[in-house]
Amino acid sequence: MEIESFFVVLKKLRSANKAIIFITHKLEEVLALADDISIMRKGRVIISTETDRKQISKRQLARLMVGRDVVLRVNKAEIQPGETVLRVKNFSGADAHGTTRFADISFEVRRGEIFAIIGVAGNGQSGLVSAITGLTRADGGEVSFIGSTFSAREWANAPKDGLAYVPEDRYHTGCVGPMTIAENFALTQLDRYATGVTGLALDRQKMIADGIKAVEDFKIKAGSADDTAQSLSGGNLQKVILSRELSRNPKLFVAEQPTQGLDISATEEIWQALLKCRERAGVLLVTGDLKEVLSLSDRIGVIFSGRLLEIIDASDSDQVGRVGLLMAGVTP
Amino acid sequence: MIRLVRKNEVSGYSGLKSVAIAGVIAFITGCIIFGVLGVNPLTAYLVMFKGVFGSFHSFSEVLVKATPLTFTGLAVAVAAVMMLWNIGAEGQLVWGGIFAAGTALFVLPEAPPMLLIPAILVSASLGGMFWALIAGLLKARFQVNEILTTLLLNYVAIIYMEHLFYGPWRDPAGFGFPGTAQLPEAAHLFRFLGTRIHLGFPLALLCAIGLYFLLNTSSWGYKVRVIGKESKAARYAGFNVTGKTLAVMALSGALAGMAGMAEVCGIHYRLQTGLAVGYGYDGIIVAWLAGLNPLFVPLSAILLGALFVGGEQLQSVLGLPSTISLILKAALLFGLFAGKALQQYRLIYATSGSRSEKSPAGGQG
Repeated sequence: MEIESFFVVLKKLRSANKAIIFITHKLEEVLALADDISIMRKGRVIISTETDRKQISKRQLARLMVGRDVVLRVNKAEIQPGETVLRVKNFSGADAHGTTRFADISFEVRRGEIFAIIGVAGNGQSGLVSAITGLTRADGGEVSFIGSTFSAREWANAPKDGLAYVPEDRYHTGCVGPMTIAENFALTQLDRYATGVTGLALDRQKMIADGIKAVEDFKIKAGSADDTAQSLSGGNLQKVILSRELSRNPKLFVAEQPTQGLDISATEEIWQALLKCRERAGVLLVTGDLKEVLSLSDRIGVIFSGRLLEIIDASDSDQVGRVGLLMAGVTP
Repeated sequence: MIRLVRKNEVSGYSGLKSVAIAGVIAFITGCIIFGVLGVNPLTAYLVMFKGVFGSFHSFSEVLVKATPLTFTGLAVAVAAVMMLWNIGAEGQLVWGGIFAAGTALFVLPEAPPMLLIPAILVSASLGGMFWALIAGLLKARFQVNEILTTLLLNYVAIIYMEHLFYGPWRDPAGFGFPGTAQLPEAAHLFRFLGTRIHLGFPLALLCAIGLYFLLNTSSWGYKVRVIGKESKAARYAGFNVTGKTLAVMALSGALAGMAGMAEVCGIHYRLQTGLAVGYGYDGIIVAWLAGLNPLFVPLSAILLGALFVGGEQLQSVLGLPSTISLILKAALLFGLFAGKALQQYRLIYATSGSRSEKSPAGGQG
């Protein structure tokens, strides 16, 4: 194994009296190598400690890494899940760089539920999302979407009306920074603004009207719909993207790290919007935020090193406690 | 201590400021050059000004020069909106000229103007399109850098044109001079008011207006602008980047081809040396001076045309080299990009030690 010979090199360096900073989210590696451990979460060092194997266990490390934040209570109505919107079977592929793989992923999302995929960043979830949304092509498995089944290859080019997607990178993927809010509102739904005899022109007035409506409905702090997207704060920009995707009346709503880096009030507004969306669509929430998952989801799939370890029912309070451990790859 | 700090936002008037900065830099450069040559800069600028605005005839020559410049400026601008660098407008201009001359001389030599002129317009744009698509296909299919391919193809185009008028297309009755025979009268573009301003000028203005509406009101133009501004978002939205690359290069080439047509059918009436005099490269300056806005392209083409006409006056009145206008032109382009770069920064006067940051008035440029 490459990794083992790499460890040998690191240990050699250590015995040559060199200091090594090793950044990882793999607990086995930490416990095998480290003399001192610092745990970082959300840009802060949570704890720095000397390893004493008797004192700190894999389990404790996992807890510290994932966090045990208080669950914010959100008004979550009881909804009986409806028909299956998305079914993914034995899905395999890689991210756009081809470096991080995911394999043999199977799950389904039903109308009326929020299905969460949670994992520490870099465990294959970003590749999984781009394959599901058709930005990249998976290399194995099949996808069923509102009743039609596609092979992994067919799916990348299949029409995806009814699939709305809020991408993780809201600054460069989800919007066009130098364009106005109104123009950004058309990004993923140009057909809706087609006008003129040929249908080739765009209805600017309607774009502006929709932009203004979104600004009002979502309480977006902007001067007007003519403000550029890049002039907005992260939270307000995310609300523009979210309202655009919601206005497409999706059957499946894919939200990737939707509240990453946002303050509490923006986070709660986005959560409420996702819960409301659940009433008429299936929601696939992909995140690394345990608090978000515990607050919102109906079922939780935990992804670790490219595999879906387990799917846990959010109402099963005994099992839900294991989510954090599963994220760190601790399986009983 | 003065520091440059990167700004997060570029102010809305950034385009105008860049142009102003470019103008000032070009003006100062001119002053230095004139000074070195021992001429009072004011006298020199006055000569240039009079040469341009002194008479209706002299100003008409500005519009004559602005005609091909508008076409090539639009060609560069439409590509640049999608972040494609078409440095090959010169070669596409040449191919437009070749197709226009070929159509008039060999394909439809007997046709009446009503038939021949439209045929020439179509064939000239096809000629430019064909040449631009070579680079476009290489870019779309194999990600070959279009800056290199478009630039290098210019030389191929010029050599091929020379081959034609030195060889197979040479005028048999031309006493051995290089050049084709004169085009039939039906191929000559209509000229206005006894000047050399020809039909190509209003045509160029129409193209500018058309391109503006295409880019700013159509869904095609929307996609092109998104691809140029944020390619990740374009892929996220599912836009066909490859198809747009080909289409934009084709359109760009067609516009440059029209410049060649305008020169051949509006000015020279034959294919000869003097067709490839750099209007294709000047289109780069025209496009960026106009901030890539098609509506401003004719204005910046007129400005550059005035610089050329004024430069010629320097030679005939003061005996200075007319190439001074080339230096002014270069200074204009440098100033423009310097202005653009500078506006991403802010000047900050800070005393070392203290972190107090004071932005002085006018320090934005």
